[in-house]
Amino acid sequence: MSAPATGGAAVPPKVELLGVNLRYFGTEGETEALKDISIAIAPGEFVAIIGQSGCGKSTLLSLISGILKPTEGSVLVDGKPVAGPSRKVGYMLQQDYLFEWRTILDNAVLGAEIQGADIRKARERATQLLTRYGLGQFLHHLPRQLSGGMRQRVALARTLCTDPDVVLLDEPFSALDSQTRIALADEVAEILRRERKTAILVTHDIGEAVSMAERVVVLSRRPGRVKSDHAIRFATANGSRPAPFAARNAPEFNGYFNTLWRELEVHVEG
Amino acid sequence: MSKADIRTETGPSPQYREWLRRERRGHLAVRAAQLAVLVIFLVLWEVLPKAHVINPLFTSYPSALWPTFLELLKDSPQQVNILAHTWATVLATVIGFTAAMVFGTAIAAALWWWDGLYKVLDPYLVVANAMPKTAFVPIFYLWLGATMSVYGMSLAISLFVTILMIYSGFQGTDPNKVKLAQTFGASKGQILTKVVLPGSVPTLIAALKVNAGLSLVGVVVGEFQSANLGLGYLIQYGSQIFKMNIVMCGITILAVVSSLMYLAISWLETAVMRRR
Amino acid sequence: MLNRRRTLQGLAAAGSLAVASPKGAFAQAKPPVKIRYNEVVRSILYAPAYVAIAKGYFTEAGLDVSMTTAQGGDKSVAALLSNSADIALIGPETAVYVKNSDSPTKIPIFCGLTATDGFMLVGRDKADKFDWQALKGKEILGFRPGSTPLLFLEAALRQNGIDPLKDVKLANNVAIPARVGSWLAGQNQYAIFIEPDASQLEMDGKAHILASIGQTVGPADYTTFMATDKYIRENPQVIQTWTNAIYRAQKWTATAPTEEIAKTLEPFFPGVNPKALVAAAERYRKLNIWKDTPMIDAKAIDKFQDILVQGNVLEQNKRVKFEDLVLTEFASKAK
Repeated sequence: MSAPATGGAAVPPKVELLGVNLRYFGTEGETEALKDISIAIAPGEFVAIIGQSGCGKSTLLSLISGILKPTEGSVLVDGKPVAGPSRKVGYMLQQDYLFEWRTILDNAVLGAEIQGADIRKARERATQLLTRYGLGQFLHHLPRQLSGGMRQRVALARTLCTDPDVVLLDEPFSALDSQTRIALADEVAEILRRERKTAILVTHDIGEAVSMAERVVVLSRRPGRVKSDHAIRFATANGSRPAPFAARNAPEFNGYFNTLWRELEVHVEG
Repeated sequence: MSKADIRTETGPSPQYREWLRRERRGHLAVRAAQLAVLVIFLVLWEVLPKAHVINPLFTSYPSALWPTFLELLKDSPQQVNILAHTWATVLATVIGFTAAMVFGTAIAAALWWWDGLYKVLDPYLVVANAMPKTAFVPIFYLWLGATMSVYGMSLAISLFVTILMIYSGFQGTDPNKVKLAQTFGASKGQILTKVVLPGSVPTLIAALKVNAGLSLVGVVVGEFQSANLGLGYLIQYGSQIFKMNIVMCGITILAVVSSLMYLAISWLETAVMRRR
Repeated sequence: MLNRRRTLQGLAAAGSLAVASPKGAFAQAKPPVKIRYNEVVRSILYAPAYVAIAKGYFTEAGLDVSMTTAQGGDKSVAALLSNSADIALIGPETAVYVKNSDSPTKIPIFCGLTATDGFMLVGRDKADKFDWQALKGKEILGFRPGSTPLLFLEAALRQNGIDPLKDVKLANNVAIPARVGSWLAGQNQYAIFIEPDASQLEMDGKAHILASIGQTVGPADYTTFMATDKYIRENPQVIQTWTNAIYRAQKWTATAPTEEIAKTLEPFFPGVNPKALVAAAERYRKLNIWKDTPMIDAKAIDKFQDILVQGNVLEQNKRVKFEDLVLTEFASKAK
C-alpha cells in the first residue's frame, strides 16, 4: 500500500501529513473525504497526486496550505504544524482568478499586498517574473486582454512573487487547451526546478503527472486513502530529469503510464 | 481582429461597403422613428386639447409651456423662481441617494461581516423594504420638520432596497477569488476591501440606478405634502390654483432632471466598466 | 300628523317637479332623480347640506342623493368636468379659474351655502382683549399656499395693518393631517383651525380662540354649489329643487337649538366629541357663517376676488364679472 519513496532519513521532510482524516459536516450527515493519509515530501521534491474525481486530491492541497484544518491527524511544514496560510506555501488554483479590475502587475503583487510585504520590492520581483514569462509588454494591461495561457502565467507569477518554499498546484492546466497545456507544463516544471521549490501537483491527467513529477502518489476513491506511491525515473545521459515534453517521448513513459492507468481503473474500496 | 486584417490591397471590398451602408441606414431609421414618436406625442398634446377633444384645463399644451417657463424664471412675492425649486429638488435627491448608498453599503458590509446579525435582521429588512415608505410622509413632517422630512423621505425610500441589493452583491462575490485571497492569509477586512468591494462595483452601480430614481420619487412625494420649495411643491401649488401649465412645466422639468440623472449614471458606469 | 305633512309636502314637490318639467309629465310622483353630489371636504361649515340629507329634504323633493367627499378643490372640479359628479360644493375660486381657462365646459355657481371663512385664529395664551398687532414677529401655522384659508388669513392680517409676507412668519408647509399634531407638538405661536378642531383644542386647554377670520374679513362667499353649464341647461328643475331643499335646510338651521343641530350632524362626523360639535355649531351660528338664504351677493363675490388678487393667485385683469360667474335665477326663485 503505502511506501514513502523519499531519500535518506537524514533530510527532514519539507511537508508531512501524519494520519490525516478530513470529514465534512453538513445537515445531511458526515462525509469522509480523506482517511488515514500519511505522506512525507522531501525539500525540492516534485510530487504528483492523482486519483479519480472526488477522491479528495484538492482537499489535500487545502490542508497543506492551511485554509482547511484536518479533523484528525496533523499537517506539518518544516516540522511545525500548519496553523493557517503562511508565506512558505504558495497555492496555484485551478483557474487564474485574476481580478479583472486590476492590471496584470497589480494582480501579480496581490499576495505580497495581502501579506504586507514591501510593495516596491514586490513589484520589482513581479516585473522580473512576468518579463521572464514573456509578459513584459502586458504589465499594465487588463486580464481580459490576455489569452488563457497568458493569464495562467500571471497566476504563476503571482504565486511565486511571495517567494514560497512550497508550491501547490491544483490542476493548473485543466482550463487550457491541450497545446498550451503541454507548453506551459514544460515552462512551469523548469521554473520550479530552477528555483528549487518543493512542488505538489494535483492532476487527473496521468501523462501530466508522469512527465512532470519524480514521484506519483495515487489516492483511492472516496474516502481518499494513499493507494500507492511510485518513483518516476528516466534514464538520461547526464542523469538529470528531462523536460516534460521530452519525458513523454522517453521509453519509460509508457510503462509508468500503463501501471498508473491500471491502478486508477481498479475498483477497490480501500 | 481589426479592420486592417481583412482589408485587401485595393481598399474595403464592395460587399463590406454595402454592409456598412445598410448598417448606417438601419441606425438612421431607428433615430428617425424615435424622433417621430416624440413629434407625434407633442403634436397630439398640442392639437387634442386645442380642438377640445380633451379638456385643455386638465392637460395644458406644449405651446403654453415655454412662456410659462419664462414667467416662472422670475421671483414673485408668492413664489421663488423655478430654478430655485429645481435646485431644491435636485439637491434633496442627490443627498438622499448618496446617503442611501453610503449607509446602505456600510450596513450591507456589517451584515456580510457578522452573519449572525444578518440572520437576525433579515425578516425585518424584508418587511421594511416591502412597506411603502410614502405612507409615512405626514408622520415624517412631525418627526423631522419641514425640510428634513423631505430629505428623510428621500433616504428612507431607497435605503432598504439598497441594503438588500448590495448585501446580495457582496454574497455573490466569486468564492474562488475569496479562496485565492485566503491562500495568501488574507484577514476578513482584507477580503472585504480587496475582493468583495471592488468585485461588487457592478452591483453598486445597479443600486445607484435604482436609488436615484427612488430618491427622486421620495423627494417629490415628500414635497407634495410638506414643503414650500421644490418641483413637487410647485406641481401641487399649480394644481391647487388651476394653473395646469405650471403643473406641466414642473412635470416636464422633472422628466428632464431624471433623464439627466440617469444619463450621468450611465456615463459613470461606462467609465468604470472600461477599467475592467 | 308629521307624516301627513311630509306626504303632502312630498306630493307637492313631486307635483311641482312634474309641472316644471318641459315634458309636461303626469301629476303623480316620478322615480327619484339620482344626484351624484361631491363636497370638497367634510366640514361643519356645510351643516345645512348635511341637514338637508339627514332630514330627508332631498328625498322628499324627489332627489336620490349619493355623497362623496373629494378632499380637494381640484378633485371636485375634476369630478364635475369628467362627469363623475352632477353637483359639487366647492370654493368659488374654482369657478373663477375654470372660467378663465380654455376649458370648453364652465361651472357656474347657482346656490350659496357658506357666508365667509370659518377658520378661527387661536393662540397658546388667553387674551382678554385680542390685538392683532400681537402677531407681529410671531410664527403662525397657516395653510397650503394658494388655498382659500391662507388667502383669507392674509387678507385678515392685511386688514389689521400687518404685512403677511414681512411682519409675520407663516408656516405653510404642514401637511393637512399633521396640522393638529404639529400644534400639539409646540410648533408655532398662533394658528388657524377650523371647527370642530378649534373648539376641541380649546376644551382640552391646548389653545385659546382669539378671533374669527371670517368675521374680520366680512362676507365673501366661501363655499358654493355649482354644476357644469351643460348639466344646468339640461336639468333646470333639478337645480331648482336642490336650491329649494337647501333653502329649507338653511331656514331650519338658522333657528333650531344647537343641541339638535349637533345631533343631526353627529353621524357625519364620527370620532368627533359631541360637546365640540355643539360648541362649533354655537360659534358658527353666532358668526353667521351659515347663510340663511341661497342668494349670493355681488359685493361678496367682489370681495372674494379682491382676496384672490391680493394673494397673487388671480391677476387683476382676469377678474370675472358677477353675472358670468353666478346664476341668480334659481336662488331668487327658491322657496
